[in-house]
Amino acid sequence: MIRQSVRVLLFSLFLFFLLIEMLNEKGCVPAVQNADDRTPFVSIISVLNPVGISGLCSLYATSPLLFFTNLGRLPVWEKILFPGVVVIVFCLFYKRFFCRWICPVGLLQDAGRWLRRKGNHCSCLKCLDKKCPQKKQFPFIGRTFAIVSLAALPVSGLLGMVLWSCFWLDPLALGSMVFRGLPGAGTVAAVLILLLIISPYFWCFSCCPTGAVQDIFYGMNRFLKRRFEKVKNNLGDQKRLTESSFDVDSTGRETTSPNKLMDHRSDRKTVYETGTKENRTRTRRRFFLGAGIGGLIVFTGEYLFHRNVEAGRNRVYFRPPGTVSEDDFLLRCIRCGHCVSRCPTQLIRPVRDSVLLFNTPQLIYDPAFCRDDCNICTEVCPVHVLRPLSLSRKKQVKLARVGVDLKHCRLYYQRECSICRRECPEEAIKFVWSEDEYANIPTVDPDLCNGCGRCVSFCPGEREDSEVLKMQRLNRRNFMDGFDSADHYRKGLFLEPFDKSR
Amino acid sequence: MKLSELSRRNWLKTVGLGLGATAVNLAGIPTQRAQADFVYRENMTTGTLHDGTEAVPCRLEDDKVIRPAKEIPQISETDVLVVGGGPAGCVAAIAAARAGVRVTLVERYGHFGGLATGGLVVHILGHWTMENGEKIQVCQGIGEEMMKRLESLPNGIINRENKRNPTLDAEVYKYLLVEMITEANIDVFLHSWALDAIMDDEPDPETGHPVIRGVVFQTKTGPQAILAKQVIDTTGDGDIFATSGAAYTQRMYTIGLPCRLGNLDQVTPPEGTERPRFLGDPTPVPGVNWVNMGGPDADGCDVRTLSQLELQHRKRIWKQFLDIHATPGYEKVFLMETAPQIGVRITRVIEGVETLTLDDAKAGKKYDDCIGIGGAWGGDHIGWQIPYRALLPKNVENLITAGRSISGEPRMSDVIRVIPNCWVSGHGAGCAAAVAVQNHCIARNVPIETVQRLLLEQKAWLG
Repeated sequence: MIRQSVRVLLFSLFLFFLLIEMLNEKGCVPAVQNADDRTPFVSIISVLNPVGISGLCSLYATSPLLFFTNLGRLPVWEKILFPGVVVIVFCLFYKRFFCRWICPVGLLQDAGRWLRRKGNHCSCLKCLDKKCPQKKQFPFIGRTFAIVSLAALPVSGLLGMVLWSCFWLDPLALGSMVFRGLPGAGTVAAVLILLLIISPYFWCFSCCPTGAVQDIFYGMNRFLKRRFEKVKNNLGDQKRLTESSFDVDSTGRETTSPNKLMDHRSDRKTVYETGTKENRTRTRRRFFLGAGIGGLIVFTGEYLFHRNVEAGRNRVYFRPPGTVSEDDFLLRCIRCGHCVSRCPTQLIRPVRDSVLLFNTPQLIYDPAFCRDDCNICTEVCPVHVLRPLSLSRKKQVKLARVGVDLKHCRLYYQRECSICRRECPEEAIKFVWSEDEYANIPTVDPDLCNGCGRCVSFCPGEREDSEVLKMQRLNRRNFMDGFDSADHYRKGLFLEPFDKSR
Repeated sequence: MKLSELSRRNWLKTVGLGLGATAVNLAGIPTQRAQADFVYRENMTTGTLHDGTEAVPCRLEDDKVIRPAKEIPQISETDVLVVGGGPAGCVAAIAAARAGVRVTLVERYGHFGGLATGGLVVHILGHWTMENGEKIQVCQGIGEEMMKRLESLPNGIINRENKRNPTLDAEVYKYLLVEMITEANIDVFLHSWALDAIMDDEPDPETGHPVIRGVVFQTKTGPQAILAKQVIDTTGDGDIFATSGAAYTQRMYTIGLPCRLGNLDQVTPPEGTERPRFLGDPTPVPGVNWVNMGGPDADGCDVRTLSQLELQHRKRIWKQFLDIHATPGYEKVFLMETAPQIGVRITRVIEGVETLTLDDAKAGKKYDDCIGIGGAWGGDHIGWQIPYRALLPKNVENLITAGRSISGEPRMSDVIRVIPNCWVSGHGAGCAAAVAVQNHCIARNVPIETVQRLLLEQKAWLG
């Protein structure tokens, strides 16, 4: 009862923060903001937010999967303060702590199981615990994912890139994607709910990599404990390990009769908790099987990944500020949509025209641009593919390169304009007099320009002059048009990717 | 009827009539006054100027040119003296006159409108802003009245609808300004170049700053002085505050020379012809375009630079015109007019009590002494308040500036300099000067609430 309440509470918190973001001025909390301007909501967030990430992200950060796969990339302070640390510690002693107390999908799973409680299935989530006689076994998809992900970590560290990751399967990432209404959210939600109704266990116990990570750590705890007991046995010349000593939960909650436990254990086929020789062999077999499948998946993943990268290289996307290298980015981004929904100018939009890059954030300039008083996207990324940047650092990050298209620049036609120069927050645009063209030519200083796109957004542009114009008509209309950006206007400035591979 | 359409018969007729009238004038009956003038000129005393004062030429002493001391005749005395009849000056003069004080307006050329007419900058850029997705016209008051009246005149203004950036016709605006200034009973001196500020011999007892008492103008009559209680410097180049000793910044900015092209409605380019680049934009007169010009950054107060640029730009305009003329289908296009006045954009900018910055403008900074709202060129930022203190020099009393020379950082001056903003600041300056005269106080201590009330009475918009 308490557990459900806590979970509902956290779930409500999850929704509550989402609501705040929607209410709170397009969701932007610029780092420079007068204390007076802050709404109470924003103040709450900042109180809840000791490491500079928003409240919602703190909830995110409870996911052990996200913690582990980002271990190498988190700043030191966040390594310690990451709420996932606490959750991991709990997971060591308390099986599937995260699933039971925090996970919103777990809540759904409970609901799904409740719907099917008359069926052949176990009626409690404790079926994961020792006592469930009816626990069904499925191939450990999630575990394979998780093991491969974790195993890839050191390799990734050596190679400096991520080999494989299944972040986006994290229930919080999925939940966020659904609640933020990113493209595909409906499908994900529908599949998940259907799955949970048809087979309440399937997702949580067999697919979910976050659940698997918890299992692994819980199992590690047990494994270590057993080793410890063994050593103790050898040293102390005590009698063989008894069944009951196995099952003393760290919480010391319950002990049951050895016989009953025996029965149940032979039924359970988790990797590390089996004590008998037969089971260990099966475990090994399973492990190699898993490794084989894992390897296959890695190869497939790599193949897809390279296609991903190729796709990314062929159609270059502008990525948000602070983004890690594109290769790294493609696999580590969990597509949660935080940056997308928090961007005050709606510059960051999800990619929709690529299956593999689906929902990764990209920058769609004009009329949107990157505000120079905002670094919210770099602060909200739960997996730090957008590195946390201070305002001044963010201003130095180069998002794109600004080019000048003279044929569509007003100055080239000797029309009065200086909007780009005035709008540039970095004062990177200078007008240089050209005696040959007899016009002032805008030139962009590549050292100062950070590609925020403000100039492009405000460029009034010049008429597209592809056809011979009838001067009669020409004289009846005014090009200036109050600078209305109609279709027939083309901008004098444009953005191009700063560096494709970054 | 256009010049190009003039037939031989009509031409003969016109010329004949003109010659006939001249002949009648010469041979026949000169008026009484004209006769007297002839006599007067014949009887000029040797060594006197046209106004009867003694000619005191400059002398070369030790290879230095020295101007000897000389008493300068006072041609007029007035309440508010507006120097410079550009957009800001005309609005300032009209606003002050409507407030009920005596106003004198002095202009160096023979027409009003400054760069808007003589400089052929016929484009009204930046009189509206975009706020909450809506276009708001921030330039109201006399500026808006002018645009409305231009609308009622034939070929006066185009593109007024939908709050776009309109284009006016220089000649119609010249006429309109004459009409409005005459209506307001303003004393006018044309062809008078400001020479020097006249400072009181005693500083202001309250602030200790020198007080301006009038301006000396160089005219064909000779140097003439006009005394005034308040002086508004709308010369654009800040000639008055520079000579009065006020603190200012000298800026270099792009200087160009616009021109007008005619017969553009008779262009018949064959298929595939590339449009010439410097065709400019349409004006209210059908078939006439005005062609703006940028230019190198140069010192607009340096006479040598101005002369050189004038020569260079005129050559360039002719080359541009020949290029257009040589384009198939454009043979009938003719160079109608080059701007009589070179397009100096920014020169001297006063160091005001308050200095406008672009960041403040974008942030929508509020001032309690706001006398008007400036606009944005392309809806790129919100309306910005113009504080009265930005019009006041730091260290001279009774002098107000308006137009492009009000206090602002370089990037802000670029926003300030356009016509609607000059109208708005001129309106504020005129009202403030009138209130100062009526309240017998120095311009710095003018009761700003009264000024704002007066501005609102004159339909200005203060946000």
